[in-house]
Amino acid sequence: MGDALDGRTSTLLAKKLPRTKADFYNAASLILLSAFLWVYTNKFLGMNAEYIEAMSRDITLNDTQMNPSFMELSTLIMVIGGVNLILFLLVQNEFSKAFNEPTGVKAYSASLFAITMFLLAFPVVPALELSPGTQMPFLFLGAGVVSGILLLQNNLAQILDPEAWRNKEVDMVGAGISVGAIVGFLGITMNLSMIPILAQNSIALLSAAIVVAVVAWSSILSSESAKPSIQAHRTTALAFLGLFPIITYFVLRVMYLQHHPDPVMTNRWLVDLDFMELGNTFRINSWPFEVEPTLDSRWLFYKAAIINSARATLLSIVLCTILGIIVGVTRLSSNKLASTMATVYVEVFRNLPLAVLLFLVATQMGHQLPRFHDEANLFDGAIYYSNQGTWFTTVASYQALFAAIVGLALLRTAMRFRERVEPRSPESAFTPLGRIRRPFSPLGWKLEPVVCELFVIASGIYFVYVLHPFVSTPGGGTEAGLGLILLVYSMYVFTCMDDDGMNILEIDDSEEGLRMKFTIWVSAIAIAAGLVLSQGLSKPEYIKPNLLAKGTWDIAEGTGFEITPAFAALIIGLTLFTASTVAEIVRGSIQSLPRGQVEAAISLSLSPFQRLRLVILPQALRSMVPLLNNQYMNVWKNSSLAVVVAYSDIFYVVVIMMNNVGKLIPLFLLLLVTYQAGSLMISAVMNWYNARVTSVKI
Amino acid sequence: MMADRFLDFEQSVAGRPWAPWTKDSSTSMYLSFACMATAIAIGAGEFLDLEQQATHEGASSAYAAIWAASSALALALASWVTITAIAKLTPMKDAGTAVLGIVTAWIVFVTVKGFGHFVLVEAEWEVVWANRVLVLIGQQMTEFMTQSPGSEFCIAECYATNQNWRFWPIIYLVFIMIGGAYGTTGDNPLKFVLGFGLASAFLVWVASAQPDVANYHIEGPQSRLLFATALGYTTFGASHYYCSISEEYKANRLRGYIALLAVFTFFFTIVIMDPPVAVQKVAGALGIEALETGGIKASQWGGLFVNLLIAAAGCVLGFGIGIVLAFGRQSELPFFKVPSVAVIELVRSGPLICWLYAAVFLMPDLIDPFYDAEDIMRMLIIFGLFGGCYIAEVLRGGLQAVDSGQKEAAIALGLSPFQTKMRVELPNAIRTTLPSIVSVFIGLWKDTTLLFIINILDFFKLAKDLPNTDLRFLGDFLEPLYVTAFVFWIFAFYLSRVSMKIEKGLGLVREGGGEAA
Repeated sequence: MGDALDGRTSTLLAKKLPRTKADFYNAASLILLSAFLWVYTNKFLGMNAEYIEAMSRDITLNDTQMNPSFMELSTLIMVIGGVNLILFLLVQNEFSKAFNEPTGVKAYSASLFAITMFLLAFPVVPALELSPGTQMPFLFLGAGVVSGILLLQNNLAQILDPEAWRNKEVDMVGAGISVGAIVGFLGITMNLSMIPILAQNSIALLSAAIVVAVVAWSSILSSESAKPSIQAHRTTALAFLGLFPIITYFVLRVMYLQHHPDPVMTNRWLVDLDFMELGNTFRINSWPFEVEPTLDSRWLFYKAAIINSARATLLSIVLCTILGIIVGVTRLSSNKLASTMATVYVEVFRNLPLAVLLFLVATQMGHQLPRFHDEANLFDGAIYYSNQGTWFTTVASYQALFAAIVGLALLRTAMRFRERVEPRSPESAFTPLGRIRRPFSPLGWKLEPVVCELFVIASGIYFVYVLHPFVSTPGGGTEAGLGLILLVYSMYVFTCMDDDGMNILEIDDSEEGLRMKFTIWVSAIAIAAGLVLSQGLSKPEYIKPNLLAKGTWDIAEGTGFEITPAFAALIIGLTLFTASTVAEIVRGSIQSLPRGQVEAAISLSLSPFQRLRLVILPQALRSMVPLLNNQYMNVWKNSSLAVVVAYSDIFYVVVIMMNNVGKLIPLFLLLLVTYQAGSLMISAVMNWYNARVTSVKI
Repeated sequence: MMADRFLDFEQSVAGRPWAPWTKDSSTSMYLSFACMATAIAIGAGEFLDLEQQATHEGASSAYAAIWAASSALALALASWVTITAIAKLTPMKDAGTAVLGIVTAWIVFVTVKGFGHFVLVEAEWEVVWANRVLVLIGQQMTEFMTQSPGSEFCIAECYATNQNWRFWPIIYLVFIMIGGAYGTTGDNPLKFVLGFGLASAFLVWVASAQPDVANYHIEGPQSRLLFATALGYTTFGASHYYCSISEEYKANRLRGYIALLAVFTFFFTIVIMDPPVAVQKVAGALGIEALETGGIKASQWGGLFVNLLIAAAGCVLGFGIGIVLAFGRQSELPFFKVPSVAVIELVRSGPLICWLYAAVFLMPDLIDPFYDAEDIMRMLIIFGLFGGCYIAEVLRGGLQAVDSGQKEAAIALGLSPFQTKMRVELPNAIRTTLPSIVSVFIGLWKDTTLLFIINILDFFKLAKDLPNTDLRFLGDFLEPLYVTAFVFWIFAFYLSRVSMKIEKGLGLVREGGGEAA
């Protein structure tokens, strides 16, 4: 370090007076820089000083605090000093040294020194009884400036090291500046009120210190005489000193806004979520979870809104994937007409703004669809459609439908049980971790996969069983969470079993084998469908209670399945828009496959559909999944545009709450957290799927 | 020869024939002609029907003919594909192609007929045409055009000072920029001359068609637009000539200057529209009269101008912020790395409208004490920040892909870390990621339509409110929306073509698809 400083001084001395054009430009830019810095630091440090003064002035009359902005001194130290400390530690960057070798204190003594100073401030500063008008701002702002200067000098560790003093390695000029800065700062802080000239110009003094330090050090740094690591450290310190006023400004401003004299501001900025317990006052269109204004709390409205957003997102994701794959594959088809039309589709929808598209879809639907009292219907009342909504015929008993699906899943398990063969190298798990990964491994290769599958089915049943109350009534959160955890765990168990090679199937693909399988499946599906239909269908029932009174017609409650126009418009818009991007992803992934794969499939005389289903798509999936993940997260974020079609999604509901309550910051943070959580969940599922898809290395 | 080609086309659309009677090629040929003739007959019948229907519904004869002809053509195509497939039993051999062909052909027919009916017969495009100046530059500046002294269109008294001269230098600069930029591409100059000429002719037509309907003097805009076009052609010629006679590095330098000009144009626009106080003082001292007083307040800007300006902010400011954040995220120093990662992840976690709301309701609380920004100015900032975070992520990929040999060479040449970053790493990263950056720009351009949610009078907001605000066209809701969609589509489509061209020009496309980078 001493060498570096020597090198710097010698180059400075060796440099003759500047005469070249470049030197002239450098000098000019330094002057401009210092002028700009002077204005900027004065402005921001001045505002910072005002805020510190406002928050530290204690006006107590009859035990009541008359200053609404007042904050305890310890809080001020905690926040302002804390931010300063964190920035100092970040610049000093000695974390890895401290963690790797905690005993080598010398390597991170500067950081320790800063932490000690910070901790010392808590007992010492209140004892000094500084005046809020002058000394307080000077203390807090000066501390930042001094730490910036210390960082620039970069000799704190040397000063704190007694050995360096003994060996006379210390650069006396640098040490003098550093120690002088600390002592001078402390001295001025203590005696500021005694020296009126300084007290009046304390901000100017600090600004001057910053300007001088920045200008001097940037000209030293531009000569590039030190080692790269020291150079980088000092550049960072320079940035710290330059940014210190504005960073502190934002911290102080937020603190001040949270204790603003104007209660509206305080209300807006204070982070507390108590108001969410109170009743909500506006109506939203939610399904299947109905919420009642004024009776239900805002948390329930928030829950209903999340369910609204989630169902729109999930449905859009499914639909856009299907449509995207169809269009993407069609773009590569040999049918010229179809591939041209697919290209046209992609180019049209990819370049449309989503907001305009949604608005257009909603308006066009309102314009095109018949009015409600036209009683427009298809198939003898099976589907009623109008610009007020669409009603489909649905099954009368969802329980029967669910039971049929479970039955088919069980049949699949049984079929796979028959086809399973003994793995070549069965692995069993006996370690404690292995027990968690594969709890059914003692059952042997024949039974373990079956039990795993049954476990997944059972968890699925339980999950649906607890999910239904969760999405349709206020409670049920804990049970649904437990059900989700169980489901995830059961799938994890199945995945581990599969990864260990315990799930090897030998499919009988002879003519009669396939025919038998086909027969079994068709008859099973037919039986299941028959069972479901035997419970009857629920047709939308058009009712007109009073033929004379206009506008009283309706679809009877509980009959049919309703899709509201807002939901339909959102789904159509989002799906059309995202499918164009998904189609491009599909096309790109298929095109990046080696040509030989398709040729091999052709020479095996697979039909085009088989080629696609068995050879192309499984391989293209590997490169598709990460890109699709991105698109799915986009769908989740784009679902916030539901506000365009007046669908009560989470953004819409939270923004109206903002208008009603005025608690902007807590609600805004809630919104960000919700969107981030949703993105993380989508990304977790997709990463899991990606790992499954790419588990076999090509 | 022709017949073979025709059969090839037929097979590619309707599938390969299976039927035994198509084994003989001449029979197959006759069958094809028969199918074609039937299809044409069906189409002709449809044409007559539809033309009558359209005329009956009150469409002008030209529009009725176009609609009927296009629908009839689509129907002929659809029925030709269907009849051929049935007559030659193609689904038996090649089900996929046949079904795909038939389904697509019928989808085309339904779309062409339905959409064509709306566009050519039903719609009243007059609603947008009559308000074209409004949707382009907004309410206030439209008023300036008609209510300034000397205008004969003032109803009672002329109260406004015309401020629209502020637009023209911007337009000149933009045209110069476009001309210069295309001159450096080294393409066939004829392409540019034609395309640019067509675009300018369209602009002139929009500005000056139907002088009796327009409520302003068309001569001014017309001559100035023609002057701008001439400027564009001149700079194109100059830069094309310069690039063709100079070495590559000189051409690159010229490209750099044009990029600088683009950045300058952006800031120039903001300054000339409403000179800030500091600029007013400087201008006063220098004696530049035009900038001595404040211009049009940002809150009075509107129309497509606002969309373009805010998208430009996303590009220009976003690019700057993106470079800073990308290097910050790449840095090994935690003082730069931690805040960069925090900002990027925070901003990317929420959708853009969240941030627009934050910019409207929360940002004033934070920045008011030192910058009393108007709504549109805050939008510029937030679009810059939002775009910057996405560009930073794109650039980061490019920076990671820079060959380490490049950096080592730079260090060996004695470049400082800053010079290494700006002169070696950044150009390399931009080169490989430029197409992705352009797609971020396209996204930002499309996202400017979200401004209507927070009541900024942008193109979309003005257009969609036309049927409510213009009493002559109450209830024409769909037409403005289609026009908006088309206008935004055109720009985005153009940018995507530019992106593809860049990709090709940089040699980033590998044969057979996929990106080399």
